[in-house]
Amino acid sequence: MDSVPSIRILTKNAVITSKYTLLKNHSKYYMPNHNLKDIDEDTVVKMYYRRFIRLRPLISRTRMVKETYTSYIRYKFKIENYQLKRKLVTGIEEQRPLIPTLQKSLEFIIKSVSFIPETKTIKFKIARDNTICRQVLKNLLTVEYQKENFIEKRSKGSELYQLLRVDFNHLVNSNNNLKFTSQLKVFNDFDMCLILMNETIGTRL
Amino acid sequence: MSNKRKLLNDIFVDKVVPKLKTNRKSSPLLTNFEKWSDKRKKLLFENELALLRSGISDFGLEKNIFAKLLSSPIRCERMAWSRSPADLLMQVKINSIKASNALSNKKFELISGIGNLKGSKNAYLVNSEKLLSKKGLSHEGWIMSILTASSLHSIDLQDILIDNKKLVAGYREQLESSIIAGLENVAKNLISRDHSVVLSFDE
Repeated sequence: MDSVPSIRILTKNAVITSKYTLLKNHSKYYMPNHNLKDIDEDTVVKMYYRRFIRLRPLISRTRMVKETYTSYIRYKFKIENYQLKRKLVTGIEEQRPLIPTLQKSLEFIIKSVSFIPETKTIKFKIARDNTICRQVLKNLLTVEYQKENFIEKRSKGSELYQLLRVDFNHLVNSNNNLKFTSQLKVFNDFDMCLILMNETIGTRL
Repeated sequence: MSNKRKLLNDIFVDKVVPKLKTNRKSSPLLTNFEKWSDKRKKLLFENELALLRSGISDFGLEKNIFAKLLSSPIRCERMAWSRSPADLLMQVKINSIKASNALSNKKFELISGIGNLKGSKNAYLVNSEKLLSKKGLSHEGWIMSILTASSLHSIDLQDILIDNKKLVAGYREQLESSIIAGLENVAKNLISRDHSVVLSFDE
């Protein structure tokens, strides 16, 4: 029944099957082992930023998804006021320490691009966890793309940009008759759910 | 008489094309073939232990309600024509009314999708409840988009009984009863351990 032979090509750094290119050497995606507390925080943040961007070719092969991912990472690192978002949803004012959340977020992305070989008899529990990470990341990037499109196409001036990216007014439960309420409600639901998930697993997605 | 051979630890396949052998003086095209292989790239871990050794842990997302909500497949929401995870949206189906129960001569009605497993073609997802109960809302817009998108082109708009209040109230009822049923289930099967916190409710 199996008419197509399975192909496996081995090189020094990778195993190439008919479906995937599986990279053996992952060291450039992890943080170095030595104690990060000796280095100042700005440098550590830049180190994390570099690792997130290095993971870009593994997120997807399509340019659109890669570009969405890049602009998402840039927005998170450069512009987003995550504490404000968090406060609007949970009401918590104290800040969480930054570096552990960055580490957890990096782990999340690495999990979503990982591959563990499974067969009919051998299954790994963590592979299911990785699949959920991948699905969450995929949905996250889809909604990010929606937001970008929405801001670009419907905005008169930078009104929507201010709303969705700076002030996060869509997270505030007010009775104002905003325009586009149904679209904003969709974004509201998604963002709230995402922030609450971040609270439970310690990430900063 | 199987041709099965071991690949990556325990993966077995029927046939294996011989490994591509590379000479010491061969071109980068062969030695670094992964750059040109044009396949989806992933990080290879041989087994669970390799992942844990790299510092990657199990986040327990299987039991995390928010992660499960966010990982549900994307569906198109019909009020704003926007895409969102299906579990964050309300599912609506077109159900046929039995002639004896009919108060009007409509043949179909809108009901919510909870607990209705049959007829997956008819299901389309609409945005959260508050907006549905607004008075000034013209529901015909999204009904039309449900009909045109669905395979049921034969159903006329006039044949459908649209009662927003009934839909929303019915949905609310179904949600509440499923939450209560779930909590009751937990209460029955509760194994109390030391230091465990139990949240209970009154009817």
